[in-house]
Amino acid sequence: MREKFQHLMVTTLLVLFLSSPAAAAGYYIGIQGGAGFVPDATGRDSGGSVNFTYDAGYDGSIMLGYNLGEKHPNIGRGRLELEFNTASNDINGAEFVEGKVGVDGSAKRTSIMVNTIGEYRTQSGMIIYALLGLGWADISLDNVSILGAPFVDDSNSQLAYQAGLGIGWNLSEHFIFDIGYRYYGTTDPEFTKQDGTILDYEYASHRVLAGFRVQF
Amino acid sequence: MGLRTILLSSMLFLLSGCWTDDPTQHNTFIPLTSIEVRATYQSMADKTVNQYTAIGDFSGSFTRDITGEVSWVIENNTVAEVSNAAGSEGLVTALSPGETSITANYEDLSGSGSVVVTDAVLTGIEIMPQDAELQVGITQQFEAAGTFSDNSVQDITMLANWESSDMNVAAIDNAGLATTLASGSTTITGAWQNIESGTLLTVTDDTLNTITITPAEATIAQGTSQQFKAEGSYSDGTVMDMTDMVDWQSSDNGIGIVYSDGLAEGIAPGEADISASFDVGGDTVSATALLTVTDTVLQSIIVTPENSTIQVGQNQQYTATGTFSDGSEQDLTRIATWLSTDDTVGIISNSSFSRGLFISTGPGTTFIEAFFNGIGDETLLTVVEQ
Repeated sequence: MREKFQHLMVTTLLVLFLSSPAAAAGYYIGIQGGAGFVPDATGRDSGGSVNFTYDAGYDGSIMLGYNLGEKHPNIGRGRLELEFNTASNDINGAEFVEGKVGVDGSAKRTSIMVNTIGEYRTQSGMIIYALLGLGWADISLDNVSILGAPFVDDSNSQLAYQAGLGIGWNLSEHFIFDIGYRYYGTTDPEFTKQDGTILDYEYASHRVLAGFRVQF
Repeated sequence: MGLRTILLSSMLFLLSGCWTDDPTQHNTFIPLTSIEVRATYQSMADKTVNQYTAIGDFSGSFTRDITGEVSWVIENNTVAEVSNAAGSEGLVTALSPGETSITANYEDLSGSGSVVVTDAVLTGIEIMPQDAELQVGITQQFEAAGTFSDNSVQDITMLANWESSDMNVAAIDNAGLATTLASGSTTITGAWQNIESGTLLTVTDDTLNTITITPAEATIAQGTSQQFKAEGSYSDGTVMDMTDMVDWQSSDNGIGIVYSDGLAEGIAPGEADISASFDVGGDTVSATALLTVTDTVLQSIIVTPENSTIQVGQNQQYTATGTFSDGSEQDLTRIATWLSTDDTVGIISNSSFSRGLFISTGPGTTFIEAFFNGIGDETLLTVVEQ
């Protein structure tokens, strides 16, 4: 999966960087909000594996970045940004061999990412971009209980990565509206369960975001 | 070109992370509320063995075999002993005639059953299958059914001493599992308590062409089971039952699991492919059947034949047919628990190879009962003198 990820992003960035028309350069700040959809996650311990299912949850980011514009033609056209994001999804079920049962609790994420964005501006002014990010994430399973029995309440820090596509419009010279999709993943976190044993977990999210950027 | 490549790559990338494997962990969060102890035989002859099983009911949500998780205790250790060793949990060995009780303990819960050891002695052994004709490279499980002086029949496969008269043609281990090695003939002998019985095993060099699974499609309710059978067609035109020889696999263990004897159990609603494969000299021959598991609920059971009469010494095979909430019917004979209310008239088998078979022992009347998931039915059986 990581090889696919790398191939996808190298291809994307090359295509976009080599074909972008003119864009203004400068620093920007931005904010994005939307929904996060966490795919079914498998938790493994010495007793075997259990699949956990999630509700859709909130996902939000603030960004501080720099638009390369045309000042660095040897690099290409795009942006480099620092993103702080947070998300939460309620866990709604745990699937065992015998079937699915209800779960209370949530998975929360706090993360800081360094993103590189390649942009392509159409003749109509629409911005099409692809994003590749790498960073750090703190993942927590908060007050997770299965059928009322406490299961896990712990957090773990892992390497994080994301890739995404989006489109944007210049609402004014310095104000840009942006919507996009990002696939976000981490290396597999480990949590200590209530009984003291270790739960090998996995975390990923499909992020659907909309927001604004103000460029200086 | 660029955008199309990006979008296609993105879709493939996302799809690659959208599913999970089936869970392998049992649900231990739903409390165990009761334990039912079942025996393969209601009574056992002295020095024989009887497998007891503990079925746990988890708050009415599901039942699960917890034989290996409970602690087994026999009340009177001079009558029988029970194993708690890994791999043989619940196996009772008769030590002397008498009656006692057996208990399966799990934390603060327990379930009990009776252990009845008779003084019946072995009068004959029947080896199965008889006069088998197999191809080279096949394994065949031979079974020994012991008939006792009270007309009871018990599986004594694990007790018997097994021999092959020609070890170059076929070898056989202490559990009765024979492996064919070269074409020719050999006699397979099973012996116990100074009684022996034999059968001819012929080994040919024909090759396996195809495997056929029956039924090709089966629909069962969640929590019930379906017996699949595999037949192999050989180059000489012969067709052989390979149910116990093939490797059974389910494509989705979360929907249906299949055991090594081809018995599939419905776990959750959905569809799963049940495959049977057999390796012949490095080449694999296989076949697939479709198992559909529904969420219908068992509403009633009918035991047939109803109100019948047989003579002492005769046996009668009973069938338990379940009717489900969607109106469908399913044969539950192999998974129902069978009971004869008067064991002086006869006993009914709960063993894997003869479940539902009533064996008469004396004149009188008895009710034949079948239960599954708390639902049952009974019918009257009259046994008359010959």
